[in-house]
Amino acid sequence: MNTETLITELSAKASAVKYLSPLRICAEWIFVVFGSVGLITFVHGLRADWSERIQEPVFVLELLFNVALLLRAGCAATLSSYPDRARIPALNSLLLTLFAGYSFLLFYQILSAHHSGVDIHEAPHGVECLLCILSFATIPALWMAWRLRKLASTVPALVGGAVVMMAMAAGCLGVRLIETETAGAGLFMWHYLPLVLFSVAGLVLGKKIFRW
Amino acid sequence: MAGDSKSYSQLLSAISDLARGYVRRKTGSHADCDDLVQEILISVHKALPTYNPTRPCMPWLGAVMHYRISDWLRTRYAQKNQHKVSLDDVEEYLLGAVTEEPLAYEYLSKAVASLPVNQQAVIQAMYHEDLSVAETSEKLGMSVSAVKVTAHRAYKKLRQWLEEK
Repeated sequence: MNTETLITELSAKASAVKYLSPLRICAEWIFVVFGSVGLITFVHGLRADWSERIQEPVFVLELLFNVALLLRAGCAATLSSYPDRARIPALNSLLLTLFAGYSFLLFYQILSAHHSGVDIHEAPHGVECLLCILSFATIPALWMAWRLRKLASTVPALVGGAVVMMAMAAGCLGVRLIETETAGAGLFMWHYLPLVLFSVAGLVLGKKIFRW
Repeated sequence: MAGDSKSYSQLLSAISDLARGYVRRKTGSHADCDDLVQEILISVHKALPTYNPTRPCMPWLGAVMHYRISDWLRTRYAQKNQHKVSLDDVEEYLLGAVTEEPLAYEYLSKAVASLPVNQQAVIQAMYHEDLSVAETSEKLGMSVSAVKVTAHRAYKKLRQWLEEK
């Protein structure tokens, strides 16, 4: 087929195209993510010590970190699905700031637990936490993948990584709302390390899933 | 886009002209240019819902073209890697002589020796003694144009001789 024939065929298919605003996509995924996390949390029930823990600034900061990471990763995934908005340096520096901030917070939690005589290795986090995070993350990840595949990403690997990071952050948020375990080395090991590792795996998967 | 097929056709034609130049510049390949331009047009058609009409068009179009070309180059390099040849398969070739026998120095000397004397003298002066045309003409007592003509005839005879042998 020559180029002129292709142009004729494509112009025959011309129809009114409506611009899909990134704000609309963001609003959609925020609704889906918070809806699914809220629903699963409602089914499991909030953690028993919720009223006490919510008064601890460190715990509130941890929840806020999860929400910020979720929003940042979701926005990055959405914007990266638009060819002319794929790379926004401010989002990268925000991610680094979030990780640096949260690493400090986690280190502070472990250090204070150590000073108060609590054995940080005994905090009962395990593979169940990871499975629970994955159950929270499944709906947001699948929905985002389905929605963003209809757009046109020029950086599919980044979109894949950002989608998985967003879903895992939603999972971490949900699990912290229902589990009663305190912070410790296990929190890093079974919550936040998988978040990073799965996001790296998302980079690889993204190349396949978001290619168009 | 309001769905006007005539305007859309004009837009796609303009994009194809732009894309053709961009593709040639980026890939240096004329053979695959049409295929790549067509892929870009299809990508533009698919990605239309992501274009905001209130924003400049070129960053969006440039990103789509760049993505398509990178994708094409990636596939092309991957295909090239698949056709790698094992060193064992070409060992015999690699161990062979670097220059072919017919081009050996003795062979060329024999060819020069078969030339008439005046042509031999010109070739000797210009290639063995590395003299310029003017210096050769001075040394042999010939005019510059006579040296050029003699050298030209010598080349012709040498070419013939080498082709025959």
